[in-house]
Amino acid sequence: MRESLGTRLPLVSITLMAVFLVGGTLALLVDWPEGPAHLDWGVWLVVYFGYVYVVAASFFYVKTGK
Amino acid sequence: MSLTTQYGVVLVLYFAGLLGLGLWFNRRVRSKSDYFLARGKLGPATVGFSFSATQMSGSSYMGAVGTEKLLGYNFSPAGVSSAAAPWFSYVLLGSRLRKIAGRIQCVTIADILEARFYSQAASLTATAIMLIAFIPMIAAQLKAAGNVFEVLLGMPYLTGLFLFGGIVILYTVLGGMQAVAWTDLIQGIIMIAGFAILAPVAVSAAGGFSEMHRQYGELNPGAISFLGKMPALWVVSSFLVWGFFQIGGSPASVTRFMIPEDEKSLRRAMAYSVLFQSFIYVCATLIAIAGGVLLPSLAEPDLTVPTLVSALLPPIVGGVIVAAVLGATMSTIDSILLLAGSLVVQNIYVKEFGGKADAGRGLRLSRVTTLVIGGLALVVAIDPPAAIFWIVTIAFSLMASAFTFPFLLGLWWPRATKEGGIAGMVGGALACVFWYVAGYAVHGAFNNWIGGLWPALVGPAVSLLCVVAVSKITPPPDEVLEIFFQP
Repeated sequence: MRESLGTRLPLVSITLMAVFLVGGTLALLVDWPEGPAHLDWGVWLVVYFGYVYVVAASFFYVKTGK
Repeated sequence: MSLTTQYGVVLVLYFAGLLGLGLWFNRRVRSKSDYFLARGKLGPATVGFSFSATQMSGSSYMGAVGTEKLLGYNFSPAGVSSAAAPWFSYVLLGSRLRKIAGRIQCVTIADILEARFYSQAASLTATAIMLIAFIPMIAAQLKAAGNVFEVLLGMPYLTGLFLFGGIVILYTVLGGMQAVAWTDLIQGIIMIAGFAILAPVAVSAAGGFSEMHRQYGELNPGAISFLGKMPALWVVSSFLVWGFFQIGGSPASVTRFMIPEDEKSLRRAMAYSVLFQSFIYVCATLIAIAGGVLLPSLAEPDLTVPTLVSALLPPIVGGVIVAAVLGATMSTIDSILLLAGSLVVQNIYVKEFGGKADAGRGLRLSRVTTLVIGGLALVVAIDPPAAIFWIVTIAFSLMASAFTFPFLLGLWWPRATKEGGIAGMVGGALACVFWYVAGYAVHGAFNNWIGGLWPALVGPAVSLLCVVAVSKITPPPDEVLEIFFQP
């Protein structure tokens, strides 16, 4: 039997992707104040928190398919 | 036992293992489809690691760490974006591509384009663009491996090149997709182990996380944040390009979506890919910053990883990490080699020339083709042009420009037509090449573009415009709607 294709876009994931791309781009252009460990808050947010965001968003899709 | 001998022992054992795997799967491959795709024969971890190992090449490991050592956090957003690449690709392309591949029982990604754009011209255009991009890409990876042998083992470049190239071509020819995917999994695990050891050792040697950053900021003040070394548009472009545009830029990885037989396996494969790539890129950033502190005057930044390995780790552990870097190179070569072979056999020999390819003959032909393409790349790598690493980046940009939007709109937009799809591929590719040439004409270099705007952003933008505009003015594609859009 042929597998159902589904016609609905994964809108929640697409929204999370837009937040990642647009938010990340804007964050790269801001002059951030210095944070812990001699790094500014922008580096903490985009680089280190960015990985957490990507992993969490991926797991959301794995669990829900949305 | 000398340092070189210890490295040599680890590498010989490693390569022997890979060849053994090729021989083992050689006996299990029964047909052309088995050889190129192995649909339903690989689990989520194997598919996920294989996707990522294909996307992250050895030269990009060495090159990315080297570039990040110089540019610091100006370059790090590209790493985060690269870690997100599987998320974009699986969600926007993978699920739908897998189901459609199952419906039309295809072998290559060009088959999907041919079915969706109901035209052999679409498949031939895609095949031509990919083959043009693949040979220099394989040659560049082989050259990177030859250089590693030269630096670490003191082996002449050509000996290292033929030894390494011979092994990777041989196990790919023997075992096909199953051997490739399983070696990708093993190589991925070794890469994780290698970076998991090197990153904390390097950070600790640089004084710990906070002290390392203080020293790096003093040595390289423009690189401790996002802006300072490179123009803002360059930083933003690299963040956008290395994630989203891998959808079109890495067709050898995308082929992995056609392997799983059920949705659950595909999603679990995505989890493996994202975790694997995130871990590697976090470690790469830490190693690069530590490298900036520990090796501030290293003449060749691409040698940061092997230099840190030989300075900080015992030879046996160092040998494993070097094997991991070579493994990354291998997993990119084997996947591209396999896809190139499948395109020549399936989309040129069988479909274009009406060649017969039953199970036995198809399999023999596939192996010979893979061998010939590998041999060609080996010949190019003997004396490659100086700019070959820029040719690799151009090849990636070319495919990202040509395929990202024809793939996405072809799968999600019923109104996309044959003419729109072909115009998107050709228009995107031409715009990308034009932007590189224009940058070269203005700045005299392939890595300096007008306004800092990457060709891999310009090409896809033109491609998107072409697909939409041309589809709107040409008749709608009634005959493919059932297969591609009926639930």
